Amino acid sequence: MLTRELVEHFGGPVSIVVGTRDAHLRPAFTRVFGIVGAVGSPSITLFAPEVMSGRMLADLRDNGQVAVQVTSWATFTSYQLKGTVTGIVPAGADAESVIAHVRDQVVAITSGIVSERFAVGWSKYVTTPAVAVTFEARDAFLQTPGPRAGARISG
Amino acid sequence: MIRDEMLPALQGVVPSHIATCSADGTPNVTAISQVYYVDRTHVALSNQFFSKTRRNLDENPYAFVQLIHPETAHMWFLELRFLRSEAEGPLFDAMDMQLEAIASLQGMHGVFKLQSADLYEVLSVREAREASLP
Repeated sequence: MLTRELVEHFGGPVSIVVGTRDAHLRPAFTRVFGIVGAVGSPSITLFAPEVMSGRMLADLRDNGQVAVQVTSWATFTSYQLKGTVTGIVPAGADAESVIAHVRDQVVAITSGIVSERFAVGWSKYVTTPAVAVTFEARDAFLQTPGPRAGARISG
Repeated sequence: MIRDEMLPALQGVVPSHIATCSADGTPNVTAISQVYYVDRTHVALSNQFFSKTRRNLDENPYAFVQLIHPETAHMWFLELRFLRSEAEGPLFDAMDMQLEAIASLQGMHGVFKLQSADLYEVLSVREAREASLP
């Protein structure tokens, strides 16, 4: 079940990365640009750019297994959620505002902690049209660097 | 396979990420502080505290790594095969020294401690040209 802390974390300046695997257990990695969920629900939706998501979608249609890491650029606080995909549909108009909200925060913070040029590069990622991937989380782990990294926080 | 234009993405300015998969088919994804250039077909990853990643590699040696250029945000994807861990020797010492510098840069001094230098064969490299507008 999602906590208020996790849901608020999703709306910050976050890096969102997705791990999947194919039928031969070969892993793959995809970067996505939006994540939403509701407090008390195990259901989470990712907004993934179509242009970058071919391998991820093929893997998810094959077996549905997904791992998602959500890390704050501001604090390095990081969580990993693992679960099974329940739906893949074209993203609606609501996705664009979620993606823009996260992107604007990431651009603002990385222009200071990385460089202006990097932030410009980040703003050029092609994020739409997007696919909405919904999954049911069965486990959540803390992944902030440090001695508690890997500790299960729910599940 | 690894080209000169990718080398800035191996300096640890922007964290890289690694995806692995356990024998039971559960994927795992985590950040990595350091992807160290060994030669055109080999890299070494810093093993600090990503124990689940390490357990997965013992069961299934394949890994998938993303690199980000620290100036342009350009992305590359590397398919890797785990070869071995080194807990001492020249590779370990070189990575340990570089990790200290990365930790200082990221305000993680005292948090990052190199457990081993994990050596991988690079199976493929893909440049994510489609990911960005010109």
